[in-house]
Amino acid sequence: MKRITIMVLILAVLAPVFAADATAIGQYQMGSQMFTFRAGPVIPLFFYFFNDNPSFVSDTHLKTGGYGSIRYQGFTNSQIAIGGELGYYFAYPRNDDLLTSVPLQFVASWIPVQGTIELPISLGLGFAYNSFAQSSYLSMFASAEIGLSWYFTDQWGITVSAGYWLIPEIYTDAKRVDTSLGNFSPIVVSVSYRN
Amino acid sequence: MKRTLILAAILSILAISLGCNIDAQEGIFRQISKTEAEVKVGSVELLAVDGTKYYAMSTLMGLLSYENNIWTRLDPATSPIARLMATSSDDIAYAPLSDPTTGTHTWYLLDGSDVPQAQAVSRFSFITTLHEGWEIAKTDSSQTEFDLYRDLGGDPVATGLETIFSENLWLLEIDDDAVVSAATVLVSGLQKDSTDTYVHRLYVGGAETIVDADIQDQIVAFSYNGTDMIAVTKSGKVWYGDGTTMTEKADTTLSFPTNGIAGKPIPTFIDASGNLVFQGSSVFYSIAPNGTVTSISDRFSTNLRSSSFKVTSYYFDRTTGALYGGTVKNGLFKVPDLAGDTVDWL
Repeated sequence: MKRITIMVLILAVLAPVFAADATAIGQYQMGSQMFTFRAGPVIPLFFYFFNDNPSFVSDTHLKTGGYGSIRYQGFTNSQIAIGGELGYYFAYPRNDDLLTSVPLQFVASWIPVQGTIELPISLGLGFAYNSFAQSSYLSMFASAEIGLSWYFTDQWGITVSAGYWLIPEIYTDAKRVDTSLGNFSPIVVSVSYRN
Repeated sequence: MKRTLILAAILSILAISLGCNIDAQEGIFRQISKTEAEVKVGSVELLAVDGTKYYAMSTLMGLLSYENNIWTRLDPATSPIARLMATSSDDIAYAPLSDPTTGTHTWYLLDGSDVPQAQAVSRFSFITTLHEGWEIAKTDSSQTEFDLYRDLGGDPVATGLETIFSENLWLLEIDDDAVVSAATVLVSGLQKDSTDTYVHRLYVGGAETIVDADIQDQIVAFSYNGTDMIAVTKSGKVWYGDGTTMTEKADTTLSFPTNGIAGKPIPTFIDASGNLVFQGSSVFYSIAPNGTVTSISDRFSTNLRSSSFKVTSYYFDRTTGALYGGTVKNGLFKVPDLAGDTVDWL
């Protein structure tokens, strides 16, 4: 009974999505644009230190942080949009020092479901300037994200999305032991304008 | 052409990336994974360990005891800014910083019951003190002469220091009677009426040794086992010898964090092998009595990097081999075994 109830709830949530898909063909075309303002909490997942045993550190000592960004994308066809995103992330560890990161990434989005309700899936790749205490590090930055959007007007909509960030910290020589991967999960609320 | 440009762009970004990522600190994620909560009592100087109870002087709360995760202020009536005078187990002597005009300075003895008891000692002012029980103080009303005293005694260990030193001087002692006689102390500072000439005197049981005048810098760390002396200067140079004659290790310059005042003695301890050990900017240093310098980048050092934790004081328990310490932000720690990498935050 419980499983049936859950299935019904899931279908009830997804029904408008597929309904929208059926009625919203051609929402975008080549040249369409989208501006997005994004903000939300970021949950630290784990660190992976390649040279440690064990390598997996689930207690990162980081608290849930915050993220804000602006994103601009242009459509190359009716479903694919490419562009860039500039953001700012911050989080406190156990002490009062602040971890900050400024990621600048190239973002490609696929929007298979379009219309009033949309389902954007995005991949990002770029760089991030990370600072903590007296240290700084310019790293690669990769992201993946899936969201659910609702356009309350033809142009304006809001999106709730969950994602994954990968921030590698790569060293050579004496600091090789500190080579690691930082793994994070942003939960982002976005406001988008499209035309 | 387009591919060449893309390749050049990627290489440029990588070059910038590498350029930005060269520093002496640990990796950012490594530092974060080692962070510990900051205590709310300020910088903590560990004074004494009595079983599971610890005594410390903090910058915000004054004299404290710490037991079962609870900090207890021991003398709420006294300004937290106090001058430590002497410690012996859980007997701790301290005095307010203000100078009297009467020639009698009130100080307090915190005995084993943790109850401060007012005492009096004939002093006009203190120039510098060590909580191991040494003080340089003025006792004449003109306040031009200053002498070396021990354990708040009435009779000075050495007199007439004003004929040797200016008032810009520091006391250094090794708080470990198993290595250094309890009656051993080093006085290091600027020569009388000079702004750039340094003099150093070693006192063992009141007997004075003139330390090699070639050391023309403030000594911030030292060890002396009765035969061999090590001196580390403010600029990071290491000297070794018998005290009277010292040799500089010309190829060695050590880097270590300073806490507030350049030239102020840095926290050190003597390990079970008689080596002088202290926290460097990125590693720990161990200096043998013969002057051999060893960097400790593994073991306990990996979890006590100065980039995360600045140590203010040490207490090495020779019986158990455990190292205790106080820090600027993170309270007290214990290293159960110097051969291991465990650091327990108390």
